[in-house]
Amino acid sequence: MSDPRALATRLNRHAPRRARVRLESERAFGRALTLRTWRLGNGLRIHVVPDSSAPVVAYQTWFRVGSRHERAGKTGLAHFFEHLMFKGTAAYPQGQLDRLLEGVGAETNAETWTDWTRYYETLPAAQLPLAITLESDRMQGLVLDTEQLESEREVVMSERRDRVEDDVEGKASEVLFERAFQTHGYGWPTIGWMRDIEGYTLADCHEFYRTFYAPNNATLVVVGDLDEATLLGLIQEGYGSIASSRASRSPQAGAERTQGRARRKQVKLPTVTEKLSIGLHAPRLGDPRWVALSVLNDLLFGGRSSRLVKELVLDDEIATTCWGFVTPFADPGLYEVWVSLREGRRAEDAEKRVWAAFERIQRDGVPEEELAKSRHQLELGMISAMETAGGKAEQIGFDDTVVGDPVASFTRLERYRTITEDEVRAVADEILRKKSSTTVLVRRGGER
Amino acid sequence: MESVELSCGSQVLIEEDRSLPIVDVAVLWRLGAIDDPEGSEGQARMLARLLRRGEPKGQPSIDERVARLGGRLAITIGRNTVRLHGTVLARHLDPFVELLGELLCSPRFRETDLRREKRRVRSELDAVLDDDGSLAHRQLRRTIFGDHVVATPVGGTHASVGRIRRSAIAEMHAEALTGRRLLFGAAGDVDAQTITPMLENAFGQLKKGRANRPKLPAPKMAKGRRVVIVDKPDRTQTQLGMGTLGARVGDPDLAALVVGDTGFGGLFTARLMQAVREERGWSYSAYSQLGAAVQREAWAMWTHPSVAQLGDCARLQLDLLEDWVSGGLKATEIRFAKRYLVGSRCLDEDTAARRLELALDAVNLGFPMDRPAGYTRRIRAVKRADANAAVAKRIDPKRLAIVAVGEAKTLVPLLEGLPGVVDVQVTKPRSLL
Repeated sequence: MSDPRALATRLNRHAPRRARVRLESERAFGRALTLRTWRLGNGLRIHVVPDSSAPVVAYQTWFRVGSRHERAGKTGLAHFFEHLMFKGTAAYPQGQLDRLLEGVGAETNAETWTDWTRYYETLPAAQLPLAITLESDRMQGLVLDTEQLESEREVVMSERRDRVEDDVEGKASEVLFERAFQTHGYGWPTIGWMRDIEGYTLADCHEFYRTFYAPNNATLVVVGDLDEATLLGLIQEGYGSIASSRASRSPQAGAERTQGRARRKQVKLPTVTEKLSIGLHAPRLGDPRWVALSVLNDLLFGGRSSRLVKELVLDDEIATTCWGFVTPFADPGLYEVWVSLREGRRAEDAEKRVWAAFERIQRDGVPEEELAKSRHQLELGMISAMETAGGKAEQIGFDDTVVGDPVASFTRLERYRTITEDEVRAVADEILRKKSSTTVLVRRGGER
Repeated sequence: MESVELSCGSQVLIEEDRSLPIVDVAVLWRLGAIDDPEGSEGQARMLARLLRRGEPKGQPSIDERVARLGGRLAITIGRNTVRLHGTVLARHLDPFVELLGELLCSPRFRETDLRREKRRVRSELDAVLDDDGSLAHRQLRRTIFGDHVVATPVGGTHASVGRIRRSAIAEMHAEALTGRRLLFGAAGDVDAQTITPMLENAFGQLKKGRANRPKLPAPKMAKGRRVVIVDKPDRTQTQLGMGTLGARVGDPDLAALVVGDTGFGGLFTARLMQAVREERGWSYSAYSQLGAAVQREAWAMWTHPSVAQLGDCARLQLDLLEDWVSGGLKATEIRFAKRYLVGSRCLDEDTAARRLELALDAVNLGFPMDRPAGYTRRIRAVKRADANAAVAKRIDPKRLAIVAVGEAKTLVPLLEGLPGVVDVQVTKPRSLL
């Protein structure tokens, strides 16, 4: 990599203020790579990791907007808008973006969750300029009309029917989060309530675009076989004229109040077996306790040798599947547990056993050998996730957007390696409490 | 990529890449659902699942030992091959390979474990009732392949799993576990000098044996379009699949078919997605898929429209299919599909593990290990006339299975009047298990 100061001087020689680039930091990324973070004058942050191990480049645009930034009555708008971003601009009318990218063999898509929206391309290295041209164009020049809005509304309603209305797990998860979060925006589904999807207007979409799709609310991550100077020059050219937004707003919903009493709900869904879903309020991703809770979750649900998979699925045969998940959210989220029972078994059977497993850890702690196993598993998972250029870019963009540190994955990796039994036990005592739990019991409804 | 041969006759492919401290290890065992005895479908899969079971009392399980090594192990089974795929921290490679040897060469196949796994398979089969997509795929396969052995799911059914015996599993294992039926691969922080002695130690004692496999008859479909409704109430939308026979890997027209299918329904910008989703908003996803195996596999297209739009969507898909088969793709569409396939190839080969997987698949099918390197040349060589002729010859819209999941009394009237339909049947989801 070239000397960053000399590079910045050269690139800024004739650049207008918004397009001027400056280096914010330079850090090791793993044992062989380097991550440089740059910023344009208009606020756009750029993370660059040259990696010539394969002739490909991952180009990702992360916007700091997700479903938590929506307001009541307009839930799902962040996700809906993600769909609209593929609809066309004055320079590249509808269909052109997909056509140009697929025409060079690129993989392209987008996704939205609670705290962020990302657009990504993985493409042959020589085609990097195309990604920059198209992404910078749609950050400033999206054109929307009523026909596109209506057609995409149908598509998103179809997506919701597929993932929620006709999906037992999707529906139960929606009920769980709605009950667990009564103030915070994490309580509504990222895809939005159907009644809200039906009501979006063109004005809603224009306002959303103006507010959130601006360089000072976005981060670019570029990993792969690239020349940094050429890349930055192209980024200056593509994004350097875009004004930053003054309208960026903080989340609508406030912090979730502490839950002092257990919540419980039964739902009847068209399924042949009962299901159990438990949510416990959990730390945000940036909290050191998040790693301890992830280790605890791995002990309980991390594969066939973990405590609850072994007990519920393999040995005592009361469930078909079970899993646990610590939400990686910017604000405190949920520790989510799911058990799909075998035919004839009651959700309460599983509930008792899950709480008994929690209590055993609180009472007896965790043997060092078992802890070491989870450490190894989590270490392997993190390393494997960064095998590809796309995997590295995703990790950088995700950590930068959610915890404000693009190399936080390495901090977590180090924490996994050094976590102690005391820390796991402490987090079990603090988080695994009935009074802060929300339980959804799915009963059989509808005959098959 | 390096290739070495073990003393037992097994080939080993090694793709070295020192960028991360992990190693991917693959074992391809030429044993699959096509080896199942008639009536005991699911036996090979049951064998594969029992490999993980059977630890002596008081000893840690196989899964426990894999996890302690910082490893992951997946065992999957297809029609032709059992595939063990592991990933492990490089510092633990030696005990991991030793464990693989123990798991494959010295399984215990206990009766208690078999009973337990049968109960588990049954509960998994019941769970399919919650998954409309799986129900639709099972029914489409059954309608396309009819009585052929590949119509049955790899894991079998409630009835066939019930008939599996421990002695038959042990016999199958003894007969099939020979050096020439195993193919090994390693990718990542490893080289041939490191992995070969480990594999020799774990597998070198196996007999060489032969690699013979059952020869299956070519599948056939009767003329006409057959509709099957999987009757499931309380659905807000349907899963709609249409399919017929597709390709086999030895088909000289395979590259031409891949180009044709990609241009029709393999891309976001392809005809199918544009017509169904982009122009009409009828379904979140709309795609086609060309299967290719040792024997002829299925070609299918999938959408999931709402019930109100099902009839129109099905008619549109049939029109698109007819146009594609009779008129072919335009020159621009063919060029576009080829550009995509050639351009995206580097994304299939961007890690050592992916390069290894492509080479293993090639060797497993009887091709040289460098066959993947010729992929872009084969795609580039496809002419428009080749692609359209191959599609017209292989994809037969007059022999078509049409499957939808939803409430039968609502769906039947929407689909029975489709052009060319000779039969409409309604089936219960449980009949697919």
